[in-house]
Amino acid sequence: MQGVENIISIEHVSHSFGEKPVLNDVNLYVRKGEFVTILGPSGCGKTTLLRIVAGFQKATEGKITIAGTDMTDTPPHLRPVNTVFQKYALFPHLNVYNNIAFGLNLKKMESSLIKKKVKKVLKMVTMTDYEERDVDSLSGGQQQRVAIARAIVNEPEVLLLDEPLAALDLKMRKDMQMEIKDMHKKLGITFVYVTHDQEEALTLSDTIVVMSDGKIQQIGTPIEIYNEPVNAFVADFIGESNILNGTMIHDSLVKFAGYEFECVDKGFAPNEPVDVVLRPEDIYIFEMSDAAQFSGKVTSSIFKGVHYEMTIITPEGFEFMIQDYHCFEVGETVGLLVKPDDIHVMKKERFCNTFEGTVADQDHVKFLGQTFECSENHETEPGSEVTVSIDFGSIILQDNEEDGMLSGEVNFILYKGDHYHLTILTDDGDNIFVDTNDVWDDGDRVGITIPPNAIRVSNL
Amino acid sequence: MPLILIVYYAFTSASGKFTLEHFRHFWMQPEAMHTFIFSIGVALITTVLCLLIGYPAAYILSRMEKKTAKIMVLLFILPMWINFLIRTLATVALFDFLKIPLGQGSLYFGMVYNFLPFMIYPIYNTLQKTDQSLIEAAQDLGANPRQVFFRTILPLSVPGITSGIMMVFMPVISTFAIAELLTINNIKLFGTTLQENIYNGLWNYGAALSLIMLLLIGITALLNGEGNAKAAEEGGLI
Repeated sequence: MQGVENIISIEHVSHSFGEKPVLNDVNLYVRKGEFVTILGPSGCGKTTLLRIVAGFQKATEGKITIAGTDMTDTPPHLRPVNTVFQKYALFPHLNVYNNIAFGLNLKKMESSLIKKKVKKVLKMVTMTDYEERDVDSLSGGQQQRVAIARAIVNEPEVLLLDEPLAALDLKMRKDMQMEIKDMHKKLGITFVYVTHDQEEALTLSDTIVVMSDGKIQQIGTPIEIYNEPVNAFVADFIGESNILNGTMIHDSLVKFAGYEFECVDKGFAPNEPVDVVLRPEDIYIFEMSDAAQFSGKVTSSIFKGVHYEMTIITPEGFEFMIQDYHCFEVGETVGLLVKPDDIHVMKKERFCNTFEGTVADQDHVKFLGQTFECSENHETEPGSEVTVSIDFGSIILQDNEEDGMLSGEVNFILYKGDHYHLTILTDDGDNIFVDTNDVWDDGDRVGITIPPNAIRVSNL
Repeated sequence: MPLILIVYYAFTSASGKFTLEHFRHFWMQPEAMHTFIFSIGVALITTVLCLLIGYPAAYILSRMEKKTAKIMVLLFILPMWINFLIRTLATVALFDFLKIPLGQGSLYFGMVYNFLPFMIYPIYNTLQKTDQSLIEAAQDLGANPRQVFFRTILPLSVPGITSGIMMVFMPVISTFAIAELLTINNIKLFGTTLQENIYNGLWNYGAALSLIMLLLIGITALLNGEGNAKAAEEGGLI
């Protein structure tokens, strides 16, 4: 957008806590007046990023510019931003009025002016007449509103909100979401909101920034993020999805789940392996008829209030989640259809595991900090650097850590319709991707074994 | 049980008759009253000294890394393991060695030295438990480090301060050993008076004096309790 100034610039920001990297070359610009949400699972770095903008943490690398001034080294009390903390952080030794007036008192403002401002902001958060109350006599929602009032009374350029609604129950959360959205419209200042709740992000934001593992995955409007996720992570994180492996036969024709479908995506190589995303509400389900593109049997049907959520399994063994207003009973055979518009094709991020390694001797290669036996015969000289490729399906995972050559933890589980695609984080910090039919849980400790015939070596 | 005995002795004469004479005796005797008031004065000054030295010490401790802080706290508490009397005698020997005359100065030194940890620990404990996010909130709202301290950290550490004051003020009143030893009995404290009387067989009088002291401690505790109703659980002591 031309001519709209960037109120915050985050440039090449990286941060580590000791040895542990938390943010990896993050670049982000926030436009003045917009409501931007940083969305991601726990541990993705979103709170750290917010704290770096607020000034509570200094980034290991990178530059922060606020309102045109380089504020990388500026302490928090000199930045024109105010924060609403997740646990409210209201001062227990002050009543509601003095909590809100805290920032104004520091500026040595005239007390009649302070009174006017505090009353105005109390009205905005619908907490008039609560001035004399002790903060610990307030409910969670009320405390949150005081926290917001305390921040906005200082008229900051940017309001930072760190998962402010996380501690509230569902009904309160939904109500507060609307209040926050209204406040943003009324105040006209920039809001930077951090949350792990994708529904919240979709409801509130002008722009969503999806983060995972310290990196930005995608930036876009709620509609863009929902309809056009750029990779499997975003597709899986936002809304419910069916994600499957597919092959782009040629432009506008994709094959998955054993059938070919017309689609609208172009720009792929012939027969390129791709990831296919289908939203559950986009799959048409009806009594079996000739109109169906493919069919399946209902294995579960749950009433969700607005719609029914059903699982269908095709004769080829692929499972789909479908949402529809009509109910189909367990055991019924149904017909399924997908419109070309609703099939979303994404480039695969990787086709197999790739590691850098060194040849140890004729039968052994060294990578991931260990030496592995490799059955592939190669005449490469010992010590030379090579690329090691391993298919997702060739890696074996064991319950008992000690049984494996390496050990690690299940970091991310992606269901691909007929198998699981897992991301394993090894104890050394490397990511290994494994396809398996076994059911694992997030955080499970596993042993990893790579059989000799699975290792493919090629020169760099 | 002992308390009942004390009450009994306080209100009876040497012959066993009920009397309030001992209390009257206390009021009449200028010497006893004088000692009493002086003791309170010493206690107040000691408390203030402990506060002036102890608060900064506790603050510095709370800023240290947890590991270092734990070691320092241990070092502070270690002397406590050595019997109080022995420590005081050792202090006397020290003063002797340094050729510093014993008197009021050494009295205060002994008191503060002995009771300082009782002031430091509660304050340190409260400071340490202060919610970091409150400090960040103050900074976020525009407070520079000085303002953060005076407007946030200090008010929130009040429970620790009150706890510390209690733990210093009350024992000081009743301590006699320090006074005796470090001043070669020159300066009398209330506790000394008490001890003397009991030692010399004047149990009744001694008992009456004990009750008066108990009353004083009780009032102090009560005054404290009122101001501390909410914060009572929140880590005053341990």
